[in-house]
Amino acid sequence: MREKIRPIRPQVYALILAFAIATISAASAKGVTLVQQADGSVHTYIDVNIRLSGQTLWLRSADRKGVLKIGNGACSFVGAIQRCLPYTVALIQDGKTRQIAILHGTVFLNLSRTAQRLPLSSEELAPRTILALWRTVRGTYVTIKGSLDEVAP
Amino acid sequence: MSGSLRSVVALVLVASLPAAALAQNHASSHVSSGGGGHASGGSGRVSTPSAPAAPPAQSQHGFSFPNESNVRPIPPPRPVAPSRSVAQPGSNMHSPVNGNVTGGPYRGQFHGRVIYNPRRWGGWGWNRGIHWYPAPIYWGGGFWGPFAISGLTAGLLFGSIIDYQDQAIYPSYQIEPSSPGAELLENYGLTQTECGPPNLVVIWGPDNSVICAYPNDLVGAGNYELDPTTLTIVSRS
Repeated sequence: MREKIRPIRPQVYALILAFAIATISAASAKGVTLVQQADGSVHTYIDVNIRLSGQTLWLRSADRKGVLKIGNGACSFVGAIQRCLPYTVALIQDGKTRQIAILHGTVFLNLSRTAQRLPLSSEELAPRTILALWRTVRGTYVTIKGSLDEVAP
Repeated sequence: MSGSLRSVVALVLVASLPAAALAQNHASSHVSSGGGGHASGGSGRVSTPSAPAAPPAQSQHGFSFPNESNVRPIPPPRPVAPSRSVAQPGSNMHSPVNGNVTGGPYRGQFHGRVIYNPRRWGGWGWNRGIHWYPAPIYWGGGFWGPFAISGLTAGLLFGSIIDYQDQAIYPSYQIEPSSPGAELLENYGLTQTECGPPNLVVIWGPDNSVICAYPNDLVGAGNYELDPTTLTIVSRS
């Protein structure tokens, strides 16, 4: 009996390639950080690395020269969304650590595997995504949204 | 070009779009604008305003917080407000904050009847097993709602407990829906009311925070201390 070998179709190659690229892109997902000064000027930082270690959020700028450390507490759940309150923010940059006094803010975390709707909002958080908003005593607004690049206990 | 080859090229082009966007982000990862910009989504999409209101802020590298001086976080005033003296400005800048302080004027006196939570939560079961830590700059650690003391408005104030002996005022605030405090009230079937009148259920929470509710068949009038791990209350002895 003659064995018949079927060549793999080009569509299959394309599908494998597309899957690989999509996987790489997802693994490189980064966050966006907006810093709006009291005078209205806005700095937008993209490609920010977001790491959650315990209840501390670490944001590293794309050029790896600045790190924002955000200490959270009073974490509780609203459905599957974890809501925490930031209470310390430190900017680690140029070999120095500067404390930034915050007035109020909230950090929402979706560590589940499905998208979750924020409480009293139409906004949805994708899986493993954070949304953090806080205001400093000097009137600076900071908004952070993006996928978690790393979660450590 | 054959049909299959065309489909290959099309698929590769579609699949490579996110990678191209990432490369673009990496090349220009810091954008300044005049104000009003906002992020949409977590995939690096950024919208910028068309009419800048202020000159773009400059930053050489890292993050830029030009208006933020090197100051320590400011702990808020304690919920306890002594009425006999006026606090000096800055006198509480570095005061230690202990979220475990509870009970107000009755601190250490809660050895009475334990009214177990009808839901019978285990340790932190109400919080999906996640340990709940008070956030020190927020009144009550956010147990009753994410209220920063300095961000409070008169609308949130919900009466107060006045300790005439120690001349201290313990302000009470309205519980926010979906907060741990709201869960507590729901479990016991309690309805919050303004603190002040007699014969109410008075529950002392983290950081000397206090709320009041109407008594019901399960919880009689009086002072109670809250165990935030199990959402259980203990009456004053």
